Amino acid sequence: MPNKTWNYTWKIFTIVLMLYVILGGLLFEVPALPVIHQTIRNIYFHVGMWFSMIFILFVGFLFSLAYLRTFDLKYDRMAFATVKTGLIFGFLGIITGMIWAQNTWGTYWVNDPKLNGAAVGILVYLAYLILRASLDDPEKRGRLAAVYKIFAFVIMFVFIMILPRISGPSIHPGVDGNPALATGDLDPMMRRVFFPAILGWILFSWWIYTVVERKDKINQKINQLNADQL
Amino acid sequence: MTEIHGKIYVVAMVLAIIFAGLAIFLFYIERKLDRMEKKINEMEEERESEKVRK
Repeated sequence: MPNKTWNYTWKIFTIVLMLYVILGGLLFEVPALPVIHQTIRNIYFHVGMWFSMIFILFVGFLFSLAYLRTFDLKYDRMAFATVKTGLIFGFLGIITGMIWAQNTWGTYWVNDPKLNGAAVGILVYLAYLILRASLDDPEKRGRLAAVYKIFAFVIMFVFIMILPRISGPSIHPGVDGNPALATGDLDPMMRRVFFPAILGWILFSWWIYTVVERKDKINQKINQLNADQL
Repeated sequence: MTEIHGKIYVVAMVLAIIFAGLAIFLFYIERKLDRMEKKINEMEEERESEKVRK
C-alpha cells in the first residue's frame, strides 16, 4: 500500500522539522531587543499555536460546507474533530501568550483588541460544543452545527485577524500590515526558524486532528454495532 | 545578550527528547487505532453475513 509509506513519510518529516524548530529556536541567534530579550524566541511557539488553530478551523469550515452540500454524516464527524483539535491549540495560544505578557508587559491580560478578539473567537467555538451537546438527532444536529460553524469561522477570523487591525493602536505586535510574513518585518535571522516552525506546527496539528477523528469514528461504529444488536 | 552561553543547549536537547518521546507515543496510539479499526471492520462484516443468513 503506497498510502502507508506516505503516511509515515510526512509524519517523520513533521518530527524532524519540529526538532529543528526546538533546537534552532532555542540556540540560533536572535536580535538583541530591550524588554523582551530572549523571550522573542516565543514567536516560534506561541505564534505557531495560532497558525495551527486557524488552519485546522479553516479545514473544519470546509468540512461544514461539504456537509451542507452532501449531508454525509462523515463530514459532520470530521468538522466536530477539527473544533476539538482547534480549541486545544487556541487554549495553548492563550496560555502561552499570557505567560509571555506577564513577563514582558507585566500583566497576564490587557484590554487589547487582539487579546480580547482571540478570547471571543474561542468562546464562539465553545458555543459550538454546547450547541452540539443540546441536540440529539444526528441529521438535525449536523445541519445546525454546520450552519453555525460556517458563521463561527467567519466571526472568529474577523475578531482575530481583522478587527485588531482597524481598531487603532495595540500593545500586541503584528496588528499593522501582515505580521511576520511581510518581508522586512521579522528579522531575517529569525525567519530561518519561523517559517519551518509554522509549517511544522500546522502539520503537527493536522496529525493530532487525524488521531482525534479516527477515535471518534471508532466510537461511532461501536455505538452503531451496539444499536444494531438491540 | 545574543550570545548563547550557560549550557542552554542542554535544555534544548531535553526539549527535543521530550518532543520525540511524545511523537513516538502518538505513533503508538495510532497503531492501537489501526487494530481497533481492523477489529471493528471484522465485526461489521460478521454482522452483515449474519443478516444474510437470516
